[in-house]
Amino acid sequence: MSKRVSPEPDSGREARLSLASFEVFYRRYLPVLMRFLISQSRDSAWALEIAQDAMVAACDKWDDLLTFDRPDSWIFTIALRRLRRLEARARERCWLAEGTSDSDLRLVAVTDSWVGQHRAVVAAVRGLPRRQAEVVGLRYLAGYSLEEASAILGIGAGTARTHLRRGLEALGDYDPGPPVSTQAGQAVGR
Amino acid sequence: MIKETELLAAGAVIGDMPAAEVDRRLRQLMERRRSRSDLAELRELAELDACELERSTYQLARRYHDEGNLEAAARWYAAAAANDYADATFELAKVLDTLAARQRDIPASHASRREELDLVEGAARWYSAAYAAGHPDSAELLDALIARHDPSRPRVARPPAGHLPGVHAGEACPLGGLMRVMQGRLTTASVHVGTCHACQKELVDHGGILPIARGSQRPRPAR
Repeated sequence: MSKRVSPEPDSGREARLSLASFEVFYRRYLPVLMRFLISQSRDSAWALEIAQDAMVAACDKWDDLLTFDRPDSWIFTIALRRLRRLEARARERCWLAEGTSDSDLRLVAVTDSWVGQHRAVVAAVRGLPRRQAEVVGLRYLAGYSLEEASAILGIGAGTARTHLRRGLEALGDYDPGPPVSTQAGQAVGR
Repeated sequence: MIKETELLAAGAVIGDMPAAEVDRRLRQLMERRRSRSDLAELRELAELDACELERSTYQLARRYHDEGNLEAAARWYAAAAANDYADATFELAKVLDTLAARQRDIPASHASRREELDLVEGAARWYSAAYAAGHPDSAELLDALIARHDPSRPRVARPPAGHLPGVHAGEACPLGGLMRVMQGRLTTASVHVGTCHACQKELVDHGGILPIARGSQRPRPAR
């Protein structure tokens, strides 16, 4: 198990330096992780919580992460695993999805502002089968290469390529449907 | 229709959190780590280890699969598939499909049919899960699985253990052979013992329904 970094400011120079590095890491990768997770989960509240959980885990294992070639890949893997585990448990117990989706209105408002004009893109990626959505999200929304995406997902590069091709084909056929009016009278894609 | 350019444009903008929001969440994170109980910390570390374990589980399953040990591969794929890891669902379905096909080639018996049914049921379940996860090939494989294991198809007949065929050297037994006659008599005896108090006592005294040869009486169990 990794040695933990104490958050107290008076616990030594080394710990403070590590903590400072984690802060840099956090500021840089939280938005990218959020961008990816928002496109993978129907529930934006879940995406936010899981991103934060993954960052807590990264902070706990920070010393170990510093020895990794790509600490950011690790956090994407962990966040995605947590999301899929949560969804698998939800499917098992039948408490997922539409009923609880986007239940935290404050969080929805926050994430909606981040999604901005690209709501149709997010909706389309969310509508893909999971593996396709993961590869498309990692490749286009998080900016990873296909090889990096396949390593994060634990699948072969050939399989990742197949999922990407199928995902792009499905997105090419995506029909956002008629515009939906919001309270402010804006017309947005579904 | 969503084009690649739109995906790239979205990737450049979505999730651009205001710096103040990032700061707020970072402070929350630090506060959460500081104030969490030992139990909460242990739970979080255990969940983290579980996430990392899935990868090892899947790799072990693949190794067994490559070596042809399908039973072990199925066991480990199942552990990874339960949490939707990588392509574990698809691989597990294919392994169970192969095991079901093997079971189908075993001469028919109640146990082998039940085993085959369990495997087919598992394969069908995981093919469905794999289809939902993004493996369209699963649908065709599921169709083929169902067609192959149609219960109405003829199966290889399996001779029962200790079988005495009703035909010997061209002579046919009108009652179906010695085995069938004995089975019939045992069934009749069982039904009778169920209703006859005297025979029940005798059965208890003898320690079983079959007659015991004289001089080889089994000792009664101590009460």
